[in-house]
Amino acid sequence: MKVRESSLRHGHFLARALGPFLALFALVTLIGALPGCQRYDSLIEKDQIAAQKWADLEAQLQRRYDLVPNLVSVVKGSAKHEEDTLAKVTEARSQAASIKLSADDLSDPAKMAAFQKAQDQLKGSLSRLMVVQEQYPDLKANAAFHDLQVQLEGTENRILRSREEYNQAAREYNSELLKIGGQAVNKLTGQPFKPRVYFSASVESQAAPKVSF
Amino acid sequence: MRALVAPSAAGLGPRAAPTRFVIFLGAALALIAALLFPRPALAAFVPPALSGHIVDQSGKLSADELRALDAKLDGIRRETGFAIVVFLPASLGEETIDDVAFTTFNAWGVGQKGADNGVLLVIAPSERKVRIETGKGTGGALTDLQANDIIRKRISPMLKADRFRDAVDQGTSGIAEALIAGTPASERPAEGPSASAPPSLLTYGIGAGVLLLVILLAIVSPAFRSALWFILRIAFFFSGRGGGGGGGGSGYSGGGGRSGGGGSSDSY
Repeated sequence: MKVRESSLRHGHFLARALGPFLALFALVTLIGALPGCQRYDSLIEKDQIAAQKWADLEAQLQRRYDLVPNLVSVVKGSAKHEEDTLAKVTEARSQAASIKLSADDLSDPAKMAAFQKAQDQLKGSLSRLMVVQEQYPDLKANAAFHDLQVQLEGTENRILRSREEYNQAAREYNSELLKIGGQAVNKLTGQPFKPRVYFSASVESQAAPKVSF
Repeated sequence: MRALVAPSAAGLGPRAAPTRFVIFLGAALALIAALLFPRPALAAFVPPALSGHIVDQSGKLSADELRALDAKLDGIRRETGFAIVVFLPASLGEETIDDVAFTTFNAWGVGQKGADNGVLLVIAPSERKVRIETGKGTGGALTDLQANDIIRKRISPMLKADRFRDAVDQGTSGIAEALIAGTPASERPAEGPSASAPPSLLTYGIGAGVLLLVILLAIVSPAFRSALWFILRIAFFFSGRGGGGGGGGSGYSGGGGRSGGGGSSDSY
């Protein structure tokens, strides 16, 4: 009887001592959960925006791939001694088109570097190809060649802007992710988010000659 | 206040200690502010303010011509929804016309937000360059090839003959025709409602829980109730009404459209 009474008193004491703390803990958790959820949602949203910008960029890169075969066939017809340049372009194109990046690869610096290198090589070889028109007046006067030139310039510009937009979206996503709040949410939910790698211009692509009409 | 009247704190005597402190604090804050908020980096090309459908910094068009062209483009926009804007910069500076057109297009927000159906025609007389920059949503209707065609066949000949008004007139007509021809009637630009992502259900649930708690506390405790009322009154006091936007010139102030880098450039 005595033992039960004293344990009952201890039980009441515990409840009285811990009760407010438990209530406070519950309140803090409730108040903390709301911004936590918002942060998670915001990360998801920014991740999706970045993914969409990447898809836009890939669409423009695809335009570039699609132009190459036409370009090669037109040049082959008018420029007799450019087999080497044409072969390089064709090879660079198949090399670039063969690299497929999955969603996870966009956070992998090595894979992104390889992808960028292939793209830059394609761009460089295309620039060198466009320059040969100076030596072949027939080619220069060729309407089909001129059309392809216009389309290629347009595509290169679109790729440039898409790349800038992707980097902007990746920057916003990375900033949110690397802040304290973002890091906390990421760890609490089992690290579903990874920082994205930026798509930068290599030295070679910056040095490639710009084709002017 | 005393610090302003007596700048030399040293001669103020024993009462000067707080004044000196204030001056020191002010200087420290100013220094910190200067370090934390650096001057904005000089932008490579800063487009002027958008004041209607045609902005002429080069002086090649007379005021009457500007008005007529502005009215024409305004009419096109009201009828078809496509926003065509013309820009004649004084000089491209160090930039290429591609960069200038892109920067200006996005700064002005040519076209409707979301639909991105605007087109910007840039003519740079000092560098003898032309560019048509197309919004993301016009790529199907006005391809890069068509843009180049319009420049070579309709704009450049006029520019070579120094007929700027005709160049702009012909160019914008060509652009409008291409846009209209390339867009099926069902897809003509209309008011696009912007859909924002609704907050998740969990957020709603937690928000409702907190609200319930607040209401409960307000019912139970009168002190909490009066505190809440006080806070609500202050919040209401500070929430201002949104100001009405003011239009200038012909009234076109951009629609939030973005360029995707499409279009074509040429020299004349």
